[in-house]
Amino acid sequence: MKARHHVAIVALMLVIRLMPTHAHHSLSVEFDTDKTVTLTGTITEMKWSNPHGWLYIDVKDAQGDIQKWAVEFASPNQLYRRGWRREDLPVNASVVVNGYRSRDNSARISATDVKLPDGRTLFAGNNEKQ
Amino acid sequence: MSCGSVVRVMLLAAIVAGGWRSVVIAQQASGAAIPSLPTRPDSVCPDDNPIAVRACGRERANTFTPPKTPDGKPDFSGFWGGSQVAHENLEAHVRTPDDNGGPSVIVDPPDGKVPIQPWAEVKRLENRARYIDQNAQCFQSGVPRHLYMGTYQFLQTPAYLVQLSEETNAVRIIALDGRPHVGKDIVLWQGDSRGHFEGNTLVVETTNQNGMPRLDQQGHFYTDAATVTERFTMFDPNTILYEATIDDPLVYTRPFTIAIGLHRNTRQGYELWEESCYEGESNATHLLNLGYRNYPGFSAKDAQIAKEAYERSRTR
Repeated sequence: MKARHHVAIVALMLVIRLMPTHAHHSLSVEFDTDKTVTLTGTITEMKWSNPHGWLYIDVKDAQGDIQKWAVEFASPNQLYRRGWRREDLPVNASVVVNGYRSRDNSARISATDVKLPDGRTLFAGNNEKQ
Repeated sequence: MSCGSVVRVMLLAAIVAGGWRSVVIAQQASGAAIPSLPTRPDSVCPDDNPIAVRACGRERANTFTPPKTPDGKPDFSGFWGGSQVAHENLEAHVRTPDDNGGPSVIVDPPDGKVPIQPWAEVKRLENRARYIDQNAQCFQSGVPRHLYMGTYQFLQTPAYLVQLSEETNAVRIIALDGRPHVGKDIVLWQGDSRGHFEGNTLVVETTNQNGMPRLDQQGHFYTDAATVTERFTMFDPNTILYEATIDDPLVYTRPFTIAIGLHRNTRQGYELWEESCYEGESNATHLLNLGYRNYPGFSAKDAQIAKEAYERSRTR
Protein backbone atom coordinates (compact mmCIF):
# COMPACT_ATOMS: atom_id res chain seq x y z
CA MET A 1 0.00 0.00 0.00
CA LYS A 2 2.83 2.34 0.92
CA ALA A 3 4.65 1.45 -2.29
CA ARG A 4 1.49 2.30 -4.24
CA HIS A 5 1.33 5.63 -2.42
CA HIS A 6 4.93 6.36 -3.41
CA VAL A 7 4.27 5.43 -7.02
CA ALA A 8 1.32 7.79 -6.99
CA ILE A 9 3.45 10.61 -5.60
CA VAL A 10 6.16 10.04 -8.20
CA ALA A 11 3.53 9.98 -10.94
CA LEU A 12 2.04 13.18 -9.57
CA MET A 13 5.44 14.84 -9.60
CA LEU A 14 5.97 13.83 -13.21
CA VAL A 15 2.59 15.24 -14.15
CA ILE A 16 3.01 18.57 -12.41
CA ARG A 17 6.32 19.15 -14.10
CA LEU A 18 4.31 19.29 -17.30
CA MET A 19 1.91 21.88 -15.93
CA PRO A 20 2.35 25.59 -15.59
CA THR A 21 1.69 27.25 -12.29
CA HIS A 22 2.56 30.57 -10.79
CA ALA A 23 5.03 32.33 -8.60
CA HIS A 24 3.97 35.58 -7.05
CA HIS A 25 7.07 37.37 -8.15
CA SER A 26 10.32 36.93 -9.97
CA LEU A 27 12.51 34.42 -8.18
CA SER A 28 15.76 35.75 -9.60
CA VAL A 29 15.32 39.17 -8.01
CA GLU A 30 15.95 37.70 -4.59
CA PHE A 31 17.75 34.44 -5.37
CA ASP A 32 20.62 33.83 -7.76
CA THR A 33 19.49 31.12 -10.16
CA ASP A 34 23.10 30.67 -11.26
CA LYS A 35 24.08 29.58 -7.75
CA THR A 36 22.59 26.18 -7.09
CA VAL A 37 23.09 24.76 -3.61
CA THR A 38 22.64 21.27 -2.17
CA LEU A 39 22.20 21.04 1.59
CA THR A 40 22.02 17.93 3.73
CA GLY A 41 20.61 18.67 7.12
CA THR A 42 18.27 17.94 9.98
CA ILE A 43 14.86 19.55 10.23
CA THR A 44 14.39 21.88 13.19
CA GLU A 45 11.07 23.41 12.09
CA MET A 46 8.64 23.59 9.19
CA LYS A 47 6.40 26.65 8.91
CA TRP A 48 3.34 26.19 6.69
CA SER A 49 3.03 29.93 6.17
CA ASN A 50 1.87 32.15 3.32
CA PRO A 51 2.93 33.27 0.84
CA HIS A 52 5.79 30.79 1.26
CA GLY A 53 6.41 27.83 3.48
CA TRP A 54 9.77 27.82 5.27
CA LEU A 55 11.83 24.80 6.24
CA TYR A 56 14.56 25.33 8.82
CA ILE A 57 17.44 22.88 8.92
CA ASP A 58 20.73 22.42 10.76
CA VAL A 59 23.62 21.70 8.41
CA LYS A 60 27.06 20.53 9.54
CA ASP A 61 29.87 22.37 7.79
CA ALA A 62 33.33 20.95 6.99
CA GLN A 63 34.55 21.76 10.48
CA GLY A 64 31.64 19.96 12.08
CA ASP A 65 29.97 23.17 13.19
CA ILE A 66 26.21 23.53 12.85
CA GLN A 67 24.96 26.15 10.39
CA LYS A 68 21.31 27.11 10.47
CA TRP A 69 19.68 27.43 7.04
CA ALA A 70 16.25 28.70 6.03
CA VAL A 71 14.68 27.13 2.94
CA GLU A 72 11.88 28.89 1.08
CA PHE A 73 9.11 26.73 -0.34
CA ALA A 74 6.05 27.41 -2.46
CA SER A 75 2.80 28.33 -0.68
CA PRO A 76 1.03 25.80 1.54
CA ASN A 77 -1.82 25.51 -0.96
CA GLN A 78 0.58 24.70 -3.78
CA LEU A 79 2.47 22.19 -1.66
CA TYR A 80 -0.72 20.53 -0.49
CA ARG A 81 -2.11 20.18 -4.01
CA ARG A 82 1.17 18.61 -5.11
CA GLY A 83 0.83 15.94 -2.47
CA TRP A 84 2.85 17.35 0.42
CA ARG A 85 1.50 16.57 3.86
CA ARG A 86 2.39 17.88 7.27
CA GLU A 87 3.83 14.57 8.39
CA ASP A 88 6.29 14.54 5.48
CA LEU A 89 8.62 16.93 7.30
CA PRO A 90 9.01 15.86 10.93
CA VAL A 91 11.49 17.58 13.25
CA ASN A 92 14.84 15.75 13.44
CA ALA A 93 14.35 14.08 10.04
CA SER A 94 17.30 14.19 7.68
CA VAL A 95 16.67 15.79 4.29
CA VAL A 96 18.61 16.75 1.19
CA VAL A 97 17.51 20.07 -0.28
CA ASN A 98 18.38 21.58 -3.64
CA GLY A 99 17.81 25.24 -4.38
CA TYR A 100 19.12 28.66 -5.27
CA ARG A 101 21.25 30.80 -2.93
CA SER A 102 19.94 34.18 -1.78
CA ARG A 103 21.58 37.17 -3.40
CA ASP A 104 22.51 38.65 -0.03
CA ASN A 105 24.55 35.48 0.68
CA SER A 106 22.69 34.86 3.92
CA ALA A 107 21.92 31.27 4.87
CA ARG A 108 18.73 31.16 2.81
CA ILE A 109 17.86 29.28 -0.34
CA SER A 110 14.77 28.99 -2.50
CA ALA A 111 14.15 25.26 -2.77
CA THR A 112 13.58 23.38 -5.97
CA ASP A 113 13.21 19.91 -4.50
CA VAL A 114 13.61 18.01 -1.28
CA LYS A 115 14.62 14.37 -0.79
CA LEU A 116 12.78 12.95 2.19
CA PRO A 117 14.05 10.29 4.59
CA ASP A 118 11.90 7.61 2.92
CA GLY A 119 13.54 8.28 -0.45
CA ARG A 120 10.79 10.35 -2.01
CA THR A 121 11.81 13.52 -3.81
CA LEU A 122 9.18 16.26 -3.85
CA PHE A 123 9.15 19.48 -5.79
CA ALA A 124 9.16 22.39 -3.38
CA GLY A 125 9.78 25.36 -5.61
CA ASN A 126 7.77 28.32 -6.77
CA ASN A 127 8.10 27.88 -10.52
CA GLU A 128 7.04 24.64 -12.07
CA LYS A 129 8.17 24.09 -15.60
CA GLN A 130 5.98 23.36 -18.57
CA MET B 1 -26.47 26.55 2.25
CA SER B 2 -25.15 23.88 -0.08
CA CYS B 3 -22.96 21.03 1.05
CA GLY B 4 -20.02 22.65 -0.73
CA SER B 5 -20.67 25.91 1.08
CA VAL B 6 -20.78 24.12 4.41
CA VAL B 7 -17.44 22.50 3.68
CA ARG B 8 -15.94 25.86 2.72
CA VAL B 9 -17.24 27.50 5.89
CA MET B 10 -15.86 24.60 7.95
CA LEU B 11 -12.57 24.98 6.16
CA LEU B 12 -12.32 28.70 6.84
CA ALA B 13 -13.34 28.22 10.44
CA ALA B 14 -10.77 25.49 10.86
CA ILE B 15 -8.02 27.65 9.39
CA VAL B 16 -8.87 30.50 11.74
CA ALA B 17 -9.06 28.20 14.73
CA GLY B 18 -6.09 25.98 14.26
CA GLY B 19 -4.00 26.65 11.21
CA TRP B 20 -2.69 24.21 8.68
CA ARG B 21 -3.38 20.92 10.42
CA SER B 22 -7.00 21.90 10.72
CA VAL B 23 -7.20 22.39 6.98
CA VAL B 24 -6.36 18.75 6.49
CA ILE B 25 -8.81 17.63 9.13
CA ALA B 26 -11.65 19.78 7.80
CA GLN B 27 -11.28 18.45 4.30
CA GLN B 28 -11.02 14.85 5.37
CA ALA B 29 -14.10 15.36 7.52
CA SER B 30 -16.04 16.47 4.47
CA GLY B 31 -15.79 12.94 3.15
CA ALA B 32 -14.94 14.24 -0.29
CA ALA B 33 -11.77 13.58 -2.21
CA ILE B 34 -9.21 16.27 -1.45
CA PRO B 35 -9.17 18.68 -4.39
CA SER B 36 -5.79 18.57 -6.00
CA LEU B 37 -4.10 20.16 -8.96
CA PRO B 38 -6.31 21.79 -11.58
CA THR B 39 -7.49 19.62 -14.45
CA ARG B 40 -7.32 21.40 -17.75
CA PRO B 41 -9.25 19.86 -20.65
CA ASP B 42 -8.00 20.26 -24.20
CA SER B 43 -9.25 23.20 -26.20
CA VAL B 44 -10.55 22.96 -29.76
CA CYS B 45 -7.99 25.63 -30.64
CA PRO B 46 -4.19 25.43 -30.43
CA ASP B 47 -2.98 26.91 -27.20
CA ASP B 48 0.66 27.68 -27.80
CA ASN B 49 0.27 30.73 -30.01
CA PRO B 50 -1.87 33.72 -28.93
CA ILE B 51 -2.40 34.92 -32.50
CA ALA B 52 -3.65 31.48 -33.51
CA VAL B 53 -5.80 31.19 -30.39
CA ARG B 54 -7.42 34.52 -31.16
CA ALA B 55 -8.10 33.70 -34.82
CA CYS B 56 -9.33 30.19 -34.10
CA GLY B 57 -11.33 31.23 -31.03
CA ARG B 58 -13.16 33.97 -32.90
CA GLU B 59 -14.00 31.63 -35.75
CA ARG B 60 -15.22 28.87 -33.42
CA ALA B 61 -17.27 31.32 -31.40
CA ASN B 62 -19.35 32.09 -34.48
CA THR B 63 -20.88 28.62 -34.36
CA PHE B 64 -20.62 27.79 -30.65
CA THR B 65 -23.55 28.29 -28.32
CA PRO B 66 -22.25 28.87 -24.79
CA PRO B 67 -24.08 27.74 -21.68
CA LYS B 68 -26.65 30.35 -20.69
CA THR B 69 -27.86 31.83 -17.43
CA PRO B 70 -31.61 31.77 -16.64
CA ASP B 71 -31.85 35.29 -18.08
CA GLY B 72 -30.32 34.14 -21.36
CA LYS B 73 -26.82 35.58 -21.03
CA PRO B 74 -23.63 33.58 -21.67
CA ASP B 75 -22.77 31.86 -18.41
CA PHE B 76 -19.12 32.21 -17.40
CA SER B 77 -19.55 30.62 -13.98
CA GLY B 78 -16.93 28.11 -12.94
CA PHE B 79 -13.28 27.68 -12.11
CA TRP B 80 -10.83 29.04 -14.65
CA GLY B 81 -7.09 29.45 -15.04
CA GLY B 82 -4.88 31.75 -17.08
CA SER B 83 -1.33 31.88 -18.36
CA GLN B 84 1.90 32.13 -16.41
CA VAL B 85 3.61 33.27 -19.60
CA ALA B 86 1.97 36.72 -19.62
CA HIS B 87 2.73 37.18 -15.94
CA GLU B 88 6.42 36.65 -16.61
CA ASN B 89 6.65 38.86 -19.67
CA LEU B 90 4.06 40.15 -22.15
CA GLU B 91 6.62 39.77 -24.91
CA ALA B 92 8.25 36.56 -26.17
CA HIS B 93 10.85 35.24 -23.75
CA VAL B 94 12.97 32.16 -23.29
CA ARG B 95 12.72 29.50 -20.62
CA THR B 96 15.06 30.01 -17.68
CA PRO B 97 15.21 28.72 -14.10
CA ASP B 98 12.98 31.71 -13.33
CA ASP B 99 10.50 31.60 -16.22
CA ASN B 100 8.49 29.03 -18.08
CA GLY B 101 9.10 31.08 -21.24
CA GLY B 102 6.79 31.40 -24.21
CA PRO B 103 5.62 33.49 -27.13
CA SER B 104 4.44 37.07 -26.94
CA VAL B 105 0.82 37.36 -25.81
CA ILE B 106 0.48 40.63 -27.70
CA VAL B 107 -1.67 40.14 -30.79
CA ASP B 108 -1.92 43.80 -31.73
CA PRO B 109 0.42 45.29 -32.84
CA PRO B 110 1.27 42.22 -34.90
CA ASP B 111 4.99 42.37 -34.14
CA GLY B 112 4.22 41.24 -30.60
CA LYS B 113 6.10 44.15 -29.03
CA VAL B 114 4.74 46.48 -26.36
CA PRO B 115 4.38 49.88 -28.12
CA ILE B 116 5.99 51.73 -25.27
CA GLN B 117 7.07 55.35 -25.58
CA PRO B 118 10.84 55.98 -25.26
CA TRP B 119 10.56 57.83 -21.95
CA ALA B 120 8.36 55.07 -20.56
CA GLU B 121 10.87 52.41 -21.57
CA VAL B 122 13.39 54.17 -19.36
CA LYS B 123 10.84 54.11 -16.55
CA ARG B 124 10.11 50.41 -17.17
CA LEU B 125 13.79 49.53 -16.82
CA GLU B 126 13.92 51.56 -13.63
CA ASN B 127 10.87 49.72 -12.31
CA ARG B 128 12.52 46.38 -12.90
CA ALA B 129 15.89 47.40 -11.49
CA ARG B 130 14.85 49.42 -8.44
CA TYR B 131 11.33 48.66 -7.30
CA ILE B 132 9.66 45.69 -5.67
CA ASP B 133 6.93 44.07 -7.75
CA GLN B 134 3.64 44.53 -5.93
CA ASN B 135 3.04 40.79 -6.16
CA ALA B 136 5.96 40.17 -3.82
CA GLN B 137 4.22 42.26 -1.18
CA CYS B 138 0.88 40.47 -1.53
CA PHE B 139 -0.92 43.39 -3.10
CA GLN B 140 -3.60 42.74 -5.69
CA SER B 141 -2.50 42.34 -9.27
CA GLY B 142 -4.88 44.76 -10.96
CA VAL B 143 -6.55 44.42 -14.33
CA PRO B 144 -5.64 42.52 -16.45
CA ARG B 145 -2.74 40.84 -14.58
CA HIS B 146 -4.92 39.11 -11.98
CA LEU B 147 -6.25 36.87 -14.77
CA TYR B 148 -2.84 35.77 -16.02
CA MET B 149 -2.04 33.38 -13.23
CA GLY B 150 -3.31 30.97 -10.68
CA THR B 151 -6.80 29.65 -10.28
CA TYR B 152 -9.93 31.72 -9.95
CA GLN B 153 -13.67 31.30 -9.82
CA PHE B 154 -16.32 33.28 -11.67
CA LEU B 155 -19.71 33.71 -10.03
CA GLN B 156 -22.39 35.29 -12.22
CA THR B 157 -25.72 36.91 -11.46
CA PRO B 158 -27.84 39.15 -13.69
CA ALA B 159 -26.21 42.21 -12.12
CA TYR B 160 -22.63 41.08 -11.46
CA LEU B 161 -19.77 38.90 -12.58
CA VAL B 162 -17.66 38.26 -9.49
CA GLN B 163 -14.10 37.07 -10.02
CA LEU B 164 -12.58 35.40 -6.96
CA SER B 165 -8.85 34.73 -7.09
CA GLU B 166 -7.02 32.35 -4.81
CA GLU B 167 -3.97 34.58 -5.19
CA THR B 168 -4.12 36.99 -2.23
CA ASN B 169 -7.83 36.07 -2.06
CA ALA B 170 -8.54 39.05 -4.31
CA VAL B 171 -12.13 39.86 -5.26
CA ARG B 172 -13.13 41.76 -8.37
CA ILE B 173 -16.75 42.70 -8.91
CA ILE B 174 -17.85 43.62 -12.43
CA ALA B 175 -21.19 45.43 -12.58
CA LEU B 176 -23.38 44.31 -15.49
CA ASP B 177 -26.39 46.51 -14.87
CA GLY B 178 -25.37 49.55 -16.86
CA ARG B 179 -24.43 51.81 -13.97
CA PRO B 180 -21.81 54.49 -14.70
CA HIS B 181 -18.21 54.37 -13.48
CA VAL B 182 -17.41 55.79 -10.09
CA GLY B 183 -16.05 59.32 -9.93
CA LYS B 184 -12.54 60.28 -11.00
CA ASP B 185 -11.37 60.85 -7.44
CA ILE B 186 -11.62 57.17 -6.56
CA VAL B 187 -8.69 54.92 -7.46
CA LEU B 188 -8.58 51.22 -6.68
CA TRP B 189 -6.13 48.33 -6.97
CA GLN B 190 -8.56 46.38 -9.18
CA GLY B 191 -10.13 49.49 -10.71
CA ASP B 192 -13.79 50.01 -11.44
CA SER B 193 -15.22 47.54 -13.95
CA ARG B 194 -18.43 47.82 -15.97
CA GLY B 195 -19.55 45.06 -18.31
CA HIS B 196 -22.09 44.56 -21.05
CA PHE B 197 -22.83 41.83 -23.54
CA GLU B 198 -22.25 42.12 -27.26
CA GLY B 199 -23.83 38.93 -28.56
CA ASN B 200 -22.06 36.13 -26.70
CA THR B 201 -19.09 38.29 -25.77
CA LEU B 202 -18.83 40.01 -22.41
CA VAL B 203 -17.11 43.37 -22.85
CA VAL B 204 -15.69 44.90 -19.67
CA GLU B 205 -14.29 48.40 -19.37
CA THR B 206 -12.06 49.09 -16.36
CA THR B 207 -10.99 52.55 -15.26
CA ASN B 208 -10.01 54.09 -11.92
CA GLN B 209 -7.00 51.83 -11.33
CA ASN B 210 -4.48 53.29 -8.91
CA GLY B 211 -1.28 53.17 -10.97
CA MET B 212 0.30 50.67 -8.57
CA PRO B 213 0.05 47.31 -10.37
CA ARG B 214 2.32 46.42 -13.23
CA LEU B 215 1.45 44.40 -16.28
CA ASP B 216 4.20 41.79 -15.89
CA GLN B 217 7.42 40.99 -14.06
CA GLN B 218 9.40 43.08 -16.55
CA GLY B 219 8.20 46.40 -15.16
CA HIS B 220 5.60 47.26 -17.83
CA PHE B 221 3.31 49.74 -16.13
CA TYR B 222 0.27 51.91 -16.60
CA THR B 223 -1.10 54.97 -14.90
CA ASP B 224 -4.32 55.79 -13.13
CA ALA B 225 -5.56 57.25 -16.44
CA ALA B 226 -5.43 53.89 -18.22
CA THR B 227 -8.52 52.22 -19.63
CA VAL B 228 -8.48 48.45 -19.98
CA THR B 229 -11.11 46.88 -22.21
CA GLU B 230 -11.52 43.13 -21.91
CA ARG B 231 -13.50 40.77 -24.10
CA PHE B 232 -14.55 37.36 -22.78
CA THR B 233 -15.76 34.99 -25.51
CA MET B 234 -16.39 31.30 -24.86
CA PHE B 235 -15.62 29.28 -27.97
CA ASP B 236 -15.90 25.75 -26.62
CA PRO B 237 -17.38 24.43 -23.37
CA ASN B 238 -14.10 24.78 -21.52
CA THR B 239 -12.21 27.69 -23.08
CA ILE B 240 -12.67 31.44 -23.06
CA LEU B 241 -10.88 33.66 -25.54
CA TYR B 242 -9.66 36.46 -23.30
CA GLU B 243 -8.60 39.68 -24.98
CA ALA B 244 -7.51 42.81 -23.13
CA THR B 245 -6.71 46.14 -24.73
CA ILE B 246 -4.61 48.55 -22.66
CA ASP B 247 -5.04 52.19 -23.57
CA ASP B 248 -2.78 54.64 -21.75
CA PRO B 249 -1.78 57.35 -24.26
CA LEU B 250 0.82 58.92 -21.99
CA VAL B 251 2.77 55.67 -21.72
CA TYR B 252 2.16 53.83 -24.99
CA THR B 253 2.25 55.02 -28.60
CA ARG B 254 -1.04 53.26 -29.30
CA PRO B 255 -3.48 50.92 -27.55
CA PHE B 256 -2.27 47.33 -27.58
CA THR B 257 -4.09 44.04 -27.15
CA ILE B 258 -3.12 40.78 -25.51
CA ALA B 259 -4.94 37.48 -26.03
CA ILE B 260 -4.81 34.26 -24.05
CA GLY B 261 -7.05 31.26 -23.50
CA LEU B 262 -8.69 30.90 -20.11
CA HIS B 263 -9.20 27.23 -19.37
CA ARG B 264 -11.95 25.72 -17.28
CA ASN B 265 -10.70 23.70 -14.34
CA THR B 266 -12.81 20.57 -14.49
CA ARG B 267 -11.33 18.75 -11.52
CA GLN B 268 -14.18 17.27 -9.52
CA GLY B 269 -14.61 18.92 -6.15
CA TYR B 270 -12.08 21.66 -6.79
CA GLU B 271 -12.37 24.65 -4.51
CA LEU B 272 -10.55 27.89 -3.80
CA TRP B 273 -8.59 27.94 -0.58
CA GLU B 274 -7.54 30.68 1.74
CA GLU B 275 -4.22 32.26 0.83
CA SER B 276 -3.51 34.58 3.71
CA CYS B 277 -0.62 36.07 1.83
CA TYR B 278 0.45 38.67 4.38
CA GLU B 279 0.88 36.32 7.32
CA GLY B 280 4.48 35.31 6.61
CA GLU B 281 5.49 37.74 3.90
CA SER B 282 9.22 38.42 4.20
CA ASN B 283 10.36 38.80 0.62
CA ALA B 284 9.88 42.56 0.70
CA THR B 285 12.21 42.89 3.71
CA HIS B 286 14.89 40.88 1.94
CA LEU B 287 14.46 42.93 -1.22
CA LEU B 288 14.67 46.20 0.69
CA ASN B 289 17.93 44.93 2.19
CA LEU B 290 19.16 44.27 -1.35
CA GLY B 291 18.49 47.93 -2.21
CA TYR B 292 15.08 47.69 -3.84
CA ARG B 293 12.40 50.20 -2.93
CA ASN B 294 8.67 50.06 -2.45
CA TYR B 295 6.96 51.00 -5.72
CA PRO B 296 5.12 54.28 -5.15
CA GLY B 297 2.90 53.89 -8.21
CA PHE B 298 2.78 56.16 -11.21
CA SER B 299 -0.01 58.61 -11.87
CA ALA B 300 -0.90 60.32 -15.13
CA LYS B 301 0.54 63.51 -13.65
CA ASP B 302 3.81 61.70 -12.87
CA ALA B 303 3.84 60.39 -16.43
CA GLN B 304 3.34 63.83 -17.93
CA ILE B 305 6.21 65.28 -15.88
CA ALA B 306 8.52 62.36 -16.69
CA LYS B 307 7.69 62.51 -20.37
CA GLU B 308 8.37 66.25 -20.61
CA ALA B 309 11.65 65.88 -18.71
CA TYR B 310 12.74 63.12 -21.05
CA GLU B 311 11.87 65.15 -24.14
CA ARG B 312 13.72 68.20 -22.79
CA SER B 313 16.80 66.08 -22.18
CA ARG B 314 16.70 64.81 -25.76
CA THR B 315 16.55 68.28 -27.31
CA ARG B 316 19.51 69.70 -25.42
